[in-house]
Amino acid sequence: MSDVDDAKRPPRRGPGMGLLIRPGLAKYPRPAAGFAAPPAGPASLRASALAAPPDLPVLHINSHRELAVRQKALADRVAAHPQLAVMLLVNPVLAFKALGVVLSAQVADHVLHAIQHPPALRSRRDELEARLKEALGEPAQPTDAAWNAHLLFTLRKLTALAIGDQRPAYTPPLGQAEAQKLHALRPAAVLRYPQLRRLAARNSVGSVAWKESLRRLDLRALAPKMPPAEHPPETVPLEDLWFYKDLDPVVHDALELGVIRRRAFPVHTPDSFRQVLAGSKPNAFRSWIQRVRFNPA
Amino acid sequence: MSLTANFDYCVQLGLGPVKAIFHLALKNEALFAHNVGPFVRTFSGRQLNVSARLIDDDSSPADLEFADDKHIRFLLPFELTVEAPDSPDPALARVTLQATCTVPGALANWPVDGQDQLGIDFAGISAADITVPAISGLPALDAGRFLAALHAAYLAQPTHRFTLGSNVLQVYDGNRDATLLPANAATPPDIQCAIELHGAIQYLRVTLPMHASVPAAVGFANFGHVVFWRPVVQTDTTVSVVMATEPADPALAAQITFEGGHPAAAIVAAQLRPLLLAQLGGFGTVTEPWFTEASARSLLSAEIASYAAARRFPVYTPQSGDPAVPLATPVGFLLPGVGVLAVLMNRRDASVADAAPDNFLGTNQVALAVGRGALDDMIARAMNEQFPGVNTDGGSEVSTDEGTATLYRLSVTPSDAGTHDQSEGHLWADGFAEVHIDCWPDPDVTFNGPIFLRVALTETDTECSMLVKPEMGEFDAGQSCCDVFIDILIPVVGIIMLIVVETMIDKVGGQLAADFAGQQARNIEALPPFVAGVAELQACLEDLRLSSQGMVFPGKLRIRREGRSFEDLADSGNLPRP
Repeated sequence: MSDVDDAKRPPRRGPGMGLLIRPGLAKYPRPAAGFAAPPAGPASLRASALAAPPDLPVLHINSHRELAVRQKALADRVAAHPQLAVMLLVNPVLAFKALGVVLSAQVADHVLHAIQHPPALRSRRDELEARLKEALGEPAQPTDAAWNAHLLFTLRKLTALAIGDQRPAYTPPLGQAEAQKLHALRPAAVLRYPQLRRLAARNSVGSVAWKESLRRLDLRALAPKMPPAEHPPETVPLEDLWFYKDLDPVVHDALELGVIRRRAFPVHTPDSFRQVLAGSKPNAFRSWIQRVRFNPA
Repeated sequence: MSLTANFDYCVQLGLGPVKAIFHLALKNEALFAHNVGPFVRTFSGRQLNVSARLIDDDSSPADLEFADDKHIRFLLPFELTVEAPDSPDPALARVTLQATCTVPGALANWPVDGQDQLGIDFAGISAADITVPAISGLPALDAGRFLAALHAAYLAQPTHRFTLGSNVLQVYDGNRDATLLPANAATPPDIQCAIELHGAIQYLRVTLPMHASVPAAVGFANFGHVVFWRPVVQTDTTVSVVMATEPADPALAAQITFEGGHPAAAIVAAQLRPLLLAQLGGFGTVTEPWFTEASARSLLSAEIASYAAARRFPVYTPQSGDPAVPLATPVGFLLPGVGVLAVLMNRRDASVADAAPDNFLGTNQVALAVGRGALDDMIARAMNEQFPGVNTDGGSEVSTDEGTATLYRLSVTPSDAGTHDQSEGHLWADGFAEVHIDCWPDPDVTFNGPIFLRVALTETDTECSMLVKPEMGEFDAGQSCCDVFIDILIPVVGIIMLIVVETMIDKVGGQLAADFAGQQARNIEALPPFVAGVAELQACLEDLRLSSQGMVFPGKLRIRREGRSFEDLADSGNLPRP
């Protein structure tokens, strides 16, 4: 092979190469979980460390009843420490702990599950999990790209598709009626200059309507027919599972479950919680949410 | 900093585009006749023909500079030609004065087809408003312009043969009179002229060939010359020589000399002298156009004022397309220090005097701006449409698959770089919502953060597409958890940007494509695409700058002559063939 060809070839791992860092080429960007990236731009108060958790008398919540009864006390603590209150959106159990409120395992489990999905979605998730386990004989893990390959090519014995750079269909974030109301505020056209133009028309202005978001993956849209791939891939991202959904109802269920799981309210791990609290890890909620206040009945 | 002063929208054009429009206007014969006249003017009692020529070419380019906030100083090369219609040789008598004159023009509005347009008007200017810095072509006093007149005057005389008894005197001018015998053999044979200075007075020295025959003087018949001097009289606008009057100075008395050395030559000369002097009066008075520098300046000023006072040319000519809904009158301001023409539209506050906006053009050829007030109005209208009830006690219910909330307060405020810890201009979103959750009192959530407006530009010879991408600040790409939050705000901001840009284009007289229903992009002409009768324009918006004063869209401008040009014909192979 020529030198030119060698230059074009991506570097391969080999003995003595040490750490190899290359620009990512992920088709679907994923949350950079566990990697603390510094915030862009000037140092922001939003990203700075929060005040150390106060030394408060510990309040134990051991039951649902106590959780209800102690609403006002909890609300007072949240109100007294607004910066820590914001951390309730990062991990409510750990945020309560920082506020001196220790939830029992049962209550903590309830809180974490309750905030993950609204009831209807939670019910649908449970239904799908049960149905898939029965159909597959193992728990479904559709947010795991390797498991998806296992599902498609081992469990369901489907033929791999050459998806390439094709992307699934998404629904728009605004409903048709909502969008129409807003678009109606744009000025109508009037033919003002009917003269012959010598300068060929070439100008346009637009805005990006929305970005692709997994929460809006269109499960009703028919996937295009794709040619078979030469070899089955080792991993299948959740988005690519969409191209198989019309071939097998079980895959459709797995895709729906994966989407629901990925739409769950993000509860950070203790380590991630500490990093966000310390200001060493950016977090959109901490950046945007300035205050959380409970209003007990 | 004020982008639009007391108006909603502003278009700023750089000096280069304004000059380009001006040069194209100068090419328009209907707006600026390139040749005017001839018309008759009377100078020192003599009627002369005057014609003017306006020039704008590589060797004598017209130019302009901004004088103050309402006036442009034009530098117009003019050529003024003055001819004496009765001149024996107009080419020799012609005076062509050239000067690049400074002519003030004022920004003005006038209606065309019911729509006010903005342009430059020279109405009301007088000679006193014109400055003439330097003049070329001022006539130099030389003998040539008189010689032609003398040749003509010679021919105009009924006879060139004069007798006194048996004596005969003939005067010659080359062979102009072929009837004379003997034929002219004087040396030199033609009338000759020269300018000579005697004391402080310039004289025309004339040498006139002649022949004298005096039989009584030992058969005298010789050729010779008479040399005589006449003072040159200059006024501010003419120069003349009275041939009939001999100067009083004896040294400048006519001198008669004969060729051949005849012994009676002196006696003959003395005897013929009265006859000869009487005939010189037949040449009359020679008058030619003539201008001192002061008179030339005065003449140019007067003629240019006369030429320009009836002229005006358009610069910005928006059309509404609907006579029932005219656009606002474009109000112009010049920013002389930075060479910017600002066109303001839609007066927002009529309680204050119109004022010039600040310069937001920078190094661009063109830039459009929407002021803060109009921007706030459009944002508020869209937000109220999308979130009905927001900013009221009842709030606006927001429902998503992930949950529901009541949005009580939401503001989206254009903000400067440097505020809110942001290094670039941004929209600052600030709100307050009650989030509905299970098994627990609904928490109130107060939020705020920046929304950036990124621009993706595709610019080629055939395409100029600007795509605005709103992005919520401080969200890293992987935080898909927050997509629901993004989906609530960003699509609305995206459509707001369309509303803002398109409304601005609509209000400044641009044109929007008809077919856009629901589309996130639209073909546009950001400016009125024509300067009526002068130029065709095409603005390419290249960027978006956001600040607390509003939004600015800088861009480039293509300008070409309106209608078919030489270049068009050449390109299509349709130039006239021999």
